[in-house]
Amino acid sequence: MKTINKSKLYEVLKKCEKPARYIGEEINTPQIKQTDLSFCLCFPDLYEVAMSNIGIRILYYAINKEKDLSCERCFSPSVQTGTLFKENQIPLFSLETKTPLNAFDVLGFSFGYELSYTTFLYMLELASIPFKSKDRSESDPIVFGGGLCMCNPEPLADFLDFAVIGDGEEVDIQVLHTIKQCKKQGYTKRDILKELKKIDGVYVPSMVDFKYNKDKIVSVTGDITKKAVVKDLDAAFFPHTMQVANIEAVHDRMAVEVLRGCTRGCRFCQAGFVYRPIRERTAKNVQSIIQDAIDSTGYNECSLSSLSTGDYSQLNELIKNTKTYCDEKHLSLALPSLRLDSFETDFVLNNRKSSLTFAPEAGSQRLRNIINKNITDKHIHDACKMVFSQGYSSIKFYFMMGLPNETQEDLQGIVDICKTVKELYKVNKTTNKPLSISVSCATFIPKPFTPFQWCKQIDYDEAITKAKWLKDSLKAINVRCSYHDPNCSMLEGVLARGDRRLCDAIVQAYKNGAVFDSWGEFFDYGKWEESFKLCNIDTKTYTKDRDTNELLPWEMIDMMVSKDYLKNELQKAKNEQTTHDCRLGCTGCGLQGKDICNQGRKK
Amino acid sequence: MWPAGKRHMQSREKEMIIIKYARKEEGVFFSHLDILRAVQRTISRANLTLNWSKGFNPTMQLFFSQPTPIGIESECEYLEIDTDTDAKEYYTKFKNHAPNWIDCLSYKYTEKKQNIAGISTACKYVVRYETPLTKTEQDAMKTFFSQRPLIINSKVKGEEKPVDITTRIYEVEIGEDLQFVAGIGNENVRVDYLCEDIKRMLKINKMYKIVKTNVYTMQKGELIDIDNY
Repeated sequence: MKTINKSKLYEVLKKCEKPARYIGEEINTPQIKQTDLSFCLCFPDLYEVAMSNIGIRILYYAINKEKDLSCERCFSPSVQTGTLFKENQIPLFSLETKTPLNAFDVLGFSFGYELSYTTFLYMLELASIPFKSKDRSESDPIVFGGGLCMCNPEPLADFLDFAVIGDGEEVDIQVLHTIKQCKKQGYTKRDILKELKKIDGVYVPSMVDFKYNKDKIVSVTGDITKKAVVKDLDAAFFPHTMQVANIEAVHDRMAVEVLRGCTRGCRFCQAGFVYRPIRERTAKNVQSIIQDAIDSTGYNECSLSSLSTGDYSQLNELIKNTKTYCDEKHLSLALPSLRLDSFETDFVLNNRKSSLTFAPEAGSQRLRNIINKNITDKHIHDACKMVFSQGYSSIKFYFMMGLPNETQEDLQGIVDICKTVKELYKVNKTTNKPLSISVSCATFIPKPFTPFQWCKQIDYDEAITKAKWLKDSLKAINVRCSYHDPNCSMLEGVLARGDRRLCDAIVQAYKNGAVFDSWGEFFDYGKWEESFKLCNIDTKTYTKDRDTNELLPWEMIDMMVSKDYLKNELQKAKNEQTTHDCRLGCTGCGLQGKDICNQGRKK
Repeated sequence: MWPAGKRHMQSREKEMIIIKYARKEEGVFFSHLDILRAVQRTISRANLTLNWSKGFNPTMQLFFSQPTPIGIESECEYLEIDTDTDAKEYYTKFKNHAPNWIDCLSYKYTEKKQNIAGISTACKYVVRYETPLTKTEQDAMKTFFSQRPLIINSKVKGEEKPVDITTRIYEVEIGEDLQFVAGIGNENVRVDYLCEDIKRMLKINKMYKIVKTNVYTMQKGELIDIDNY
């Protein structure tokens, strides 16, 4: 493959901000093999964000360990660098061999959040690859998507040749082997896609047909795609090393995934439903990954990643067994996702952090029951008492506003929690430092495959009114409050539950200058508003509540959690009833019927 | 009473290893903080021991020479490590585990901290153009450097500002390449801005690279190479 001129590139890089983003050469980069099929793993955000992504890391090493496959990486350049690349006619290239993206056979994009869609187009443009798959020739790369957003790949239907739904580490390899075989036999792209469609987890948008009337889907034809599932996480591949980022990454530490999935069933949480069933790695396996990875990288912090690390059944054993190693290596373990009800003193004592973050999500018990966040005020109070008695004087809370059936009393509940926490600090503090409480409030966004997928998302006016009221009320009691830009949340909601009619609007928004929409400094809703107007799209079509019998854009995807279960959960939410953790007994979400889950059976 | 700073100096009188390294090719794109992190991780990977600060959040006792701006090659970067281990073994292990772009050149053992960043006064730079400088270009450069005052456009806290560097340029030698000794630290000359000014004002549209070749300290009015100090 033709690679780009290094000396020309280096000359341009001298003018770029943070040029180390674009040179590769990281410690622990595997040797890239010459193979019959070239593949580049892309991430539509900056290097420092991409290098923190655990999914990218798993796939990169999993594919490169295959004898006949190779995988390179490409991340989005910053706007300043992208402009310099364009001016100097440097096409977007892979970090390892500096090969232009348009010379690869296959490009795989990872979509972790909806606001990265325009950055995806930005990368295609820098690589001189046509946006829409119908405009790409046989010699252009096959472009596919993966990641959490592919629960609903429809807003990207025109751009992606196919999407991988579910756990990628096994299916991606199967996909690449299939493409390789097909290419060998001289198949056209269309024929390759027909072969890929046979694989569990592969969704080919061009082979699914939707018919719409004004604001509804009236019919859909095609085959249903079942998500790909890694049945045994402990036996699944996980790299015992990682590349050390050239510049400081967003999460500049080693990370190991201790468990996948969650059994709690919070009704707003998309990841909690789509990553089911819960699967764990053994403490022995995790310990060996930690030791090998720390020895090979030199990091001094290790994060035990999962949706809820406090629920990891072997957590205490793991912490106990790694203690000597951690002390020797000056290594600290970070437990980023702890629930208030699975929070223990040992974790606090082992971490010298100045601040702790809790996520009660809603201000009142009634609303917490509606969203099935099974924690009580007592859990919040106990956790606060404990951390204050350990010397902590700074605490942060995450809440959501605009949840289904939310009332003014629920918002008042947030203020009341802060007042009570202040009182608790007076009694339990062990330091003279003043208490610092900060509240971060996000607008609730209904996501596909959750019981709230049919619910309404509050509009801009309502969101801003609620946010301002909350900010003012908290300011009165000396609590800092920040909230997400309601326009940004609204756009995320539109894209999350959108359909393929949005494709042209995404292109138009990009042409208007929208890029890096997840970065506050770049987000400009005006550019999107203009594009929706031009493309005749009413955003309310996507944010309004939907009938539970209505056809949805993600109708042809089987996430294995049954629709009846989601409907039942929605009804329970309306009745303010909770559903228990499914480890305490199966709640009948549908996975056990598919023989990939045995949670709750043991009890 | 201890004279100011004396107590601090005394506590620092211990064994140190000084490693001299070069940064070339990709290495020029790493900022000073990136290099600091890379060195810390190299030490961890190589399982090397060193002394840590005694505070609430202990940090490795590492000391670097003055930062070199991004984009400039260097043949003379220095790193002091506060450790009691055998210097040769330490150096070998460090070299084997360092990233490719940190090119370890030599090491030295000293009994106390040299504070290279603090004692450095000036650096020698060689500016190599893609083709040798012509006679006309050399003459133009001589005229440029003989200007009094010699003012360049530099950036101070992100803002472009004219800076008088007359007293900060110690030596200039103009041949096929441009070589000069310029101040660092408090009397710093941003050589990348200086070279851009030369390119713009003298209209020398050739690609060039800047290489830092020596670091000097001032002793009794004379510049002495740090290597011989």
